[in-house]
This record gives sequence, C-alpha cells and structure tokens, in this order.
Amino acid sequence: MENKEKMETPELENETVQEEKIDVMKGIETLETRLIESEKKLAETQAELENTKGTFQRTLAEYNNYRKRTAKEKAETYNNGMVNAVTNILPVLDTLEMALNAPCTDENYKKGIELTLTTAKNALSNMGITEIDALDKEFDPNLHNAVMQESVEGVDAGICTKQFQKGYKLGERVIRHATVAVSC
Amino acid sequence: MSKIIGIDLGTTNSCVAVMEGGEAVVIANPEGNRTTPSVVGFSKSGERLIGQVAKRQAITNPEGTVSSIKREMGSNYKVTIDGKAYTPQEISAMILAKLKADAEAYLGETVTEAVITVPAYFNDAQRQATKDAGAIAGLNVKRIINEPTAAALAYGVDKEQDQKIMVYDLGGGTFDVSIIEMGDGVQEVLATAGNNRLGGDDFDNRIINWLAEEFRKETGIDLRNDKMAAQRLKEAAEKAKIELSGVMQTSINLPFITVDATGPKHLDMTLSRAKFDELTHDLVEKTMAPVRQALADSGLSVNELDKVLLVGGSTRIPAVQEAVKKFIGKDPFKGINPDECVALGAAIQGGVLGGDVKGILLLDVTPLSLGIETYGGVFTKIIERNTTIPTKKSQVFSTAVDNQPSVEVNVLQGEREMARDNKSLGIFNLDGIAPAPRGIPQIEVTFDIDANGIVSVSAKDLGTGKQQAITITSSSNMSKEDIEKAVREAEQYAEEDKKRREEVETKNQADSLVYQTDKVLKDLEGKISEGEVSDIKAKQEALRTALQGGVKTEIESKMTELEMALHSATEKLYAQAQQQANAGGAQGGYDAGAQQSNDGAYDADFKDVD
Repeated sequence: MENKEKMETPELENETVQEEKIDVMKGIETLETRLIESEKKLAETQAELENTKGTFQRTLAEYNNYRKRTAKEKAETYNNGMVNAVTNILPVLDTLEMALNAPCTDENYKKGIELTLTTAKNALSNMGITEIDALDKEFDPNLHNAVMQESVEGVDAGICTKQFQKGYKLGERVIRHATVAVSC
Repeated sequence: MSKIIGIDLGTTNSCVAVMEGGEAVVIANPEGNRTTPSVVGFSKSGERLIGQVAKRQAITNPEGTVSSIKREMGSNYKVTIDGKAYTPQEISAMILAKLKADAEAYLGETVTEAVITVPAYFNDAQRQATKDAGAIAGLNVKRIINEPTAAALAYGVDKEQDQKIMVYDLGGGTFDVSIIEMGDGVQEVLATAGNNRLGGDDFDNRIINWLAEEFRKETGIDLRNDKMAAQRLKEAAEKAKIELSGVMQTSINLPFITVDATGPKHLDMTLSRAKFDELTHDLVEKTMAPVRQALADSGLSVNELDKVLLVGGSTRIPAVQEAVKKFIGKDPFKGINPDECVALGAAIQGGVLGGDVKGILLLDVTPLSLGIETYGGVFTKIIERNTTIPTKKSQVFSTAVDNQPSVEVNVLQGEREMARDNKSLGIFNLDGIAPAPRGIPQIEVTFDIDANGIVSVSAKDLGTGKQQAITITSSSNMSKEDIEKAVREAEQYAEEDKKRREEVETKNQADSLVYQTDKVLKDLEGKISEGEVSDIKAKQEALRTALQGGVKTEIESKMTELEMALHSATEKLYAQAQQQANAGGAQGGYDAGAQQSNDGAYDADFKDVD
C-alpha cells in the first residue's frame, strides 16, 4: 500500500521520508539521551563504588589498627589491674612505715610492726614491684615528684634531699612517684 | 587519608579525642591518663618536658616551667627560658605536639589534621594564635571551634532544631559560661561571661583549710607548715571531694599525720556533703554572677533557654548542679564525662570534616533486649540490649506438660524480668509436636536481626523438623524516649522483678519435682518399702499443697523435704544395685537432682498453650 501511495503522490512520499527521517532523528536523540543518562549513572555508580571502597578500606585499616592496639592493651590489662590494686594498698604501707618511725617505748610492739612491713615488702617484690631509689639521688621528674625545694649545705643543686613518700615501680613502669624535696 | 583529631587545648588540662567506628573516643596518654596537664618544662639539661612530668619538676624549676599559657594566647607576651624567648603559640605548640604524638601512638598512623577548640570569647588574634600553634606542631588546623559548641556537639544537640543553650564550664582553674544558639546550620554565640581564676582547686583548698583548722583546734599543730603532712592533706582533700559527689559523707583518715612531744597524732574526721557545701557555698555563688550576666547580655529570659550543659570536672559537685538547676529551673544535661566532652565534640567535628561521620557504615545496636515468654510468665532474653546488629542467636527450649501438642512463642522486647511488663512484638504457635513427656521435646528458637533492624523469629521442633516463623519490623519504631523509659523502669523495678522471677523459678522447680516424683516412684516400684513410698507420696502431696499456697519459703522447705526423701530412697536403690552388681547384674537408678530438661535442652519451659 505504501508503494502505491508513493507512486501516486510523490510529494507525499517526500513527506513520508521526511517524517521517517524525523522519527529516526528522534530515535537517535532518545538513544543519545539514554546513553548520556546511562553514562551519567555509570559515572555515579563508579563514584559511589570508589567512595564505598574508600570507606571500606578506611574501616578495614581502622579495624586492623584497632585489633593490634587491643592485643597490646590486653597484654597490659593484667598489669593495669595489678597497678590499680597496689595503688590502693600503698597508703597502708605508708602508714605502717610512719608507725614504725613514730616514737614508741614498747620495743616488742615496734618489732611486730617491722616484721609486718617486711612481709608486705616481700609480697610486693614477689609481684615484681620495686621501690624507687630517691634519697641522695639526682632528681628525675620521670621518677620523682618534687613538692619542696631547700638549700642544704654541702649538697649540689638538683639532689633529692628528703623523701616524703616512697615511690614504686612495676618493671619500668612507675606506679607511684616518690615525693621528694630537692636541693637548690 | 589520615584521621582528623579533636583537641581541647585547655588552660590547666588538655584532652585529645578521635572518631573511631563512628564514635568519638578519648585517647589516653602513655601514662594512662585521659587528660594531660597544659604544662611545659625545660629541664636544666635542655630536655623538654610536657604534661604530668613537667608538673612534677615545676617547684624545682620555676623559671623553666610554663603553665596556663592559654591566658596569654594572642598577646605579645613572651616567656624567656635560658635566654631564648618563646611566644605563647610556640609553648602551646609543644603541648599540641605531645597530644599529636600520643594520638599517633594510639592510632598507629600519622596524624596531620586537627580541630582545636577555643573559648567562645576568644577574639580573632587569639584564634589565629591557636591556629598558628597547631601549624608549629605540624598540624593542619581544619577548624577552630568554640568550646561550648564542641560540648553541644558531644551531646548531639546539633541534630535537633534551633535552640538556645547555656554551657556552664567549671574547669580546673577557670570558669566560663556561654549562651549559644545552634541548630540547622545556625551557630551563634549570644553571650559569654566568666571568672578566669576560679576552679576545682579552690574547692580542694577549702577542704584542706577546714581539715587543718579542725586539727589545729584539737592539737594545736598546724599541718600546713609540715610539707609532708600538707601533701597528704591535699591528696585526701581531693579524694574526699570526689567521693562526696557520690555519697553523703566520707571519712578522712590520715594516721600518724604528725608527731609531738606526747607521741604520734592521727587525723580522723568525717566530712559530710552538707559541710562541704557550706565550706564552698561562696565559690558556687561566685559562678552565678557570670551566669546572670551572660543571660542579661544575651537578652534572653531563663525560660527561653532550651538546654543547659555542664562541662568541666567540677560540675560533678552536686551543689554546683543544684545551683544551676535552681537558677535555670531545668535539670542540666549530664551523662558525658565533663572533662572530656569538649574534646569529644572537637573529634566529632573532625569526623564531619573528614567525611568519617557520614561515610562510615554506622552499625546499629538493638536498643532493648529481645526474647520470649517462658513457663510462669518469665521473660527469657535471647538477644541482650546493645548487641551490635546484624546478629543471630538460638536457644533450645522444651515443653511444660506431658503430651503438649503445641507451644506458643510470644516475642518480647524490654528489660523487665517478667513477660507481662515488656512489650509483645508478636505471637505465633508451633504445633504438631509429637506426644512426649514434658521436657523431652527440643524446640529451637532462633532470633535473627538483619542490618536494618528487622527481627525474624523462628521455632523449630528438632524432633519432627517442623518449623514456624514470624518477621517483625516494628521493633525499631520505639522512640528514644520510650527506650530510655524502658531501661529506666527496668532499673527502678530491678529488685521487685528479681524477686518475682525467683518466685516463679522456685515454683517451676517445685512443679517439676512433683512431676518427677511420679516417675521416680514408678521406677522404684517394688524396690523400696511401702513405708518409704507412702512417705514420699505424703511429701509430694505437701509440696503440691504448698505450690497452691504460693508462699516461696514454704515451697522451698517442702521441696527440700521431698528431695531428701527421694535421695535416701535412691541411695538405698544404688546400694542394692551395687550388691546386685557384685552378684553379677547392674541396674540403673534415678538421680533426683537432675532437672527435667533433656541433653542440651534449656530448662526453661514454654507455657502451655491450652
């Protein structure tokens, strides 16, 4: 039928061709838009993927570091617990030492206190806890806490001249700093 | 990309935090402390000491120790140490560099970027100086934010609509009050006021002086003149102050505090919270003047304030909280460690800038526990609250009566011990259970929560393989308030609930024992004497009666009696069996101590559906 029409009406045929052309053009246009849309979507998806990848990698890295740190912290946990417990007990030892140094006429009683202290010290040393050397040593803020300065004849500056409170260490870790007076 | 850390660069103490797994966490320094004193020391040997270690040597080296440098930020002030002049920026940079190094040690990666907080009243020069300090420390300061804003961020205030907030910040040595407005994109400082020579140390000193005065009245000795005693007083005062935030009175015990001609002297005193409040009343009052000032400057009335946030360690003091509450007429916001909340807020801001906060897949948690109702109306939790989802958990249950044909699975959400006090999310039945004595069927109940919070619950008869399931989507629909209410109520009724649960459990045990007794008697038929049988039967009946009475102690005593009777009967049986075994034939016996549950089965039964 088309052929017939074409033959009969050449102008019309032209028109039809024109229309078809327009249709094709429209088709191409639609495809182009779709392509652009798809490309845009692809770019978006790729960007999102990159983003997700980044997030994933960062989270993974964070997790890895977290794991390493937790392993380290776990090893520390035992010591932390011990340090915490010991820190709370130390004032009792301080008091016992003060009791020992307090004037007392009952020598036998004093002896008892002394033995108690020895027992306590042994217990600490069994736990790996040692006293910090302070008296007559050079002042070191990593080990000592200065609360007073005094001038002592014949002593150079920067020496721990008095110890107010004993300091303790667990291995290299300071549990409590020795409280001292420092010469100037 | 490395992480952006948040730093609260304070006058007395500084704190550093970072976003981790979508949450802000404070980074402790290698000494284990979560805040670091803002003190820098230059030792005689030229070593640079920062933080606690600098503080410890301060008294021996006053010329070489710098503290409170924040007060000089933005000015032309310079400290000269060993002939070299340092700007406040340079000193601050040393503190920042330590915090940076501590953060790197913690994170296991290099840190190059930071958000640093400053007081709301800091001017441009002071802010610029802070930024410069960061640069000197090797930090690219992504943003300088106000301390009150950071505190508000830590409390999540920014997620709500516009509001006017008062931030009351009582730190170690300074007091600041700010009124800010924040909300969708709005962030404005309406007014600030403060007192830069008022803080927690003043409260300690009041206790020290009180102790010393009381002691002097008693003994005539002034402990403040004795360095050793003064040191112990200081520690004890600080401890007492902290304790009084939690209890109404505390004892201060310092044995052998000093010695005089009459012998050793001990300090033994009790400080009540009321006395402490009396000693520090004027200090608390001193903070109220700036509060009134800031409010007047902001042009707001008390009613127009939406929230009050407490920042700084000293806001833990109950009298401080009380005074703020009295003035504002609202409960101040608490909950986040007041020493840390500014740094936490800075870390959150850092997370937002770094894309961390929205970039990270936020793993949700179940806000409330999930479980099912079991025999006697008890709530048996299967998934505890705050479990990170997705998650899946199973437990095996059994039936409560003989030949029970079906079980009812009532899925519950909440924290209370009894089923009826919790919210039911759905109920379903699993039927077709093969006739069997109670406790024999094994029903596996599985809870599965996916990443979106959707809960699937299934019940499977492990004997027949029959299965029934339900999917619940509404579990996440509870508002934050509802959840908080549920948790609060659980705490409130914990004692009561526990009692009720124990009652039910005792009843269940007794019920099970009554049931088992029938079985045991059957097993023992002909092996024990008539007298024993009737004795056991009488005790079983007594327990049954006690069960109906419902008095826990009564049930318990009757249960013990019955158990003892059963034990002695079975013992005899074993002795007989032993004899028979010796004679060549062995016979099994019943262990009255065994629960009704089968191997691996949980001994909490479903309630009967009938």
